[in-house]
Amino acid sequence: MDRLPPWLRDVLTIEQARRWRVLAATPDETGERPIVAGRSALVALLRHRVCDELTFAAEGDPLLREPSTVCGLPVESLDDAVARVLAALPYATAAELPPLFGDLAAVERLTPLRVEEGLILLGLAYDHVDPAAVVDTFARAGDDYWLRRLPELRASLVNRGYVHRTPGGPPGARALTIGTDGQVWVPPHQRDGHEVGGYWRRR
Amino acid sequence: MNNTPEQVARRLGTSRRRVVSAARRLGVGRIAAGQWLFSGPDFERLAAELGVDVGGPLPRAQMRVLAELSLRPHGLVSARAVAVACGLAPATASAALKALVADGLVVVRDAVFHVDVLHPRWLELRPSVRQVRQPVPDAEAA
Repeated sequence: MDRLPPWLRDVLTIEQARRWRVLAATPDETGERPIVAGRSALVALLRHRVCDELTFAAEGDPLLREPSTVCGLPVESLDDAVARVLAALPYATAAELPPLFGDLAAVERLTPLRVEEGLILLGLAYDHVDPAAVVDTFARAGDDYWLRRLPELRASLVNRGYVHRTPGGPPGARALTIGTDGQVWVPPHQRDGHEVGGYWRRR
Repeated sequence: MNNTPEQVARRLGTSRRRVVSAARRLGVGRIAAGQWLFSGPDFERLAAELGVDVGGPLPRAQMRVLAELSLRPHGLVSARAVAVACGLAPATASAALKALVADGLVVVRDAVFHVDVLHPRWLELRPSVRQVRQPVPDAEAA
């Protein structure tokens, strides 16, 4: 079993790091490994908190994009992970909601993906979940960020008219890595006096 | 910090002429030693008036349409609705939609326009599209 890189050890508890190494080293009889999914996938992609429980995609779960490989385990894409988290919101208990909202806020802070687009992805992957029901759960978030965003989310569900949106800062105050051999998000910056928009580049 | 019209124009993805024209119309900015200068709040007023366009692989109007449709889970119901939401002239919105539908970036389902977030180019476009800000309509600004 190879050692995990420091960045992954930093975002997993000792037990989950060991579990990751074991699963990465032991494929099942078909040579497949379980796909890290949902909030665990967000941790592997965003590195924004410590994960104390690994979750995996179940057999037959819809995947919109190819998973990337992170230290021997397939990790579902950011889009799939966000759709999965959004799909869980209407069924989550009050105690389960704050961490879900925390992860979604991290997605908006660190990547160009917004919850509104996540709702489009939700419709593609989990068409039985009502986007309006998902948005209604944000009223129970109880933090300033989502209370500020709630009117925008509600207005976005209408298919005509102008939606007033509070301008946010540029995504990605720090570089965001997708996978171990993936891409790095370069935030908008100035080069030789010219504005350069954010973009993905190879590591 | 004060910005010159050229700096504001670069940040908004527009021309100096449009910036100065909007500044005169809105009564923002000041002239010092013959040079226009804009404070932070001035910049925000101009950004709300003119919107923020970023350089991208697609024309300005198409970027605006993609930006709006990617934040509409139920899509937009007509070219006129797209025009209103994006602050574009109806003919411009219609032409942009036509080009985007031809490229496959926008699809029509049940007579409603949707962005195709699974299009092969979408992940490349998303970061630029997300920096676009639509201009605030006059009624909203008032």
